[in-house]
Amino acid sequence: MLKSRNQIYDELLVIKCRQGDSTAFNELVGRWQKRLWHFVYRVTGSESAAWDIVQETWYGIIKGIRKLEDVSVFPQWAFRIASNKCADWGRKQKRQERQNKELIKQGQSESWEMQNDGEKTESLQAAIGKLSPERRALLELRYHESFDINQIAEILNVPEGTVKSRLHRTLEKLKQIVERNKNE
Amino acid sequence: MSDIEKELTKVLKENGRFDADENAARRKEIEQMIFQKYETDMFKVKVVFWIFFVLSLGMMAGGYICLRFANDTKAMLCWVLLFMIGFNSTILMKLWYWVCDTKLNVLKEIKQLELQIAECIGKESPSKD
Repeated sequence: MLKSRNQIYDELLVIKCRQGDSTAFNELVGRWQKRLWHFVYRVTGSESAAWDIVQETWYGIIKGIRKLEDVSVFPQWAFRIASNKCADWGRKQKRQERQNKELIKQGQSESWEMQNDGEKTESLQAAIGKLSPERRALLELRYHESFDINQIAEILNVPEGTVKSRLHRTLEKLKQIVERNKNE
Repeated sequence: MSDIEKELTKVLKENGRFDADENAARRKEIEQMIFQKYETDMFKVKVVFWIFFVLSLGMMAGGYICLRFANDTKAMLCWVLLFMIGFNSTILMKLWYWVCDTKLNVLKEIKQLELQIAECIGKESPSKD
């Protein structure tokens, strides 16, 4: 498989980071911060949570980068860390929700509406917002980050077949929501 | 790619307020914290390396000094053993560092070469199998 110039450059930066080159690390953060943030924001639906999770993701990257033997898997590895952090965040949210159900419920509905406020809320955009965080993560990885099915399987730690079926079901659900919105 | 997939790609690329002005301060703050953490971690690795290195040297020096003043054979053997452990540890640490550094340097050279080739053929977008 031929790699693009950007992929090779990222690999070069990761190698330099492993050698302790802080300039290379700065550059790597500059190149990946936005992509990770977008992914986390899409999954959590909250800007503030996205910043916190991205920060934790980078801490995880710093901790593990010296042990990363195959530098070509950096994108999948970084997104897997982010995905795990999002899952942790989701569990924490659920726990809090259980503890104070009404308060959190109100906060969640507010936060999602707040992000869409002022933007052109198209039907598809609104439909994406109605999906579960796991499904939003799947869409983001496939259609924004353009990862292959096997790479997504690696990131989410599930078999390729599961990714395909989940993706299919998500698209079906999305179509249903869009249709329903049109009819309403 | 179906219509909904094309539309999805478009919608997902448009959304997100990463570059919004109100996020600039937060972004900068987080980036600074990340850099600090990286620097601290790298410093810690160096400190740990030097602690082990100094300990090994200490063992070596201590073993050698005690060996010179030892009277019986059993004690001499013990001090020789300590000296050898310290001596070999320093060698192994330097060797380990050299191997890791060389491996990364070779990898770096290969990547630089790959990058030059990619630039020559002007391949900008990711390719599929």
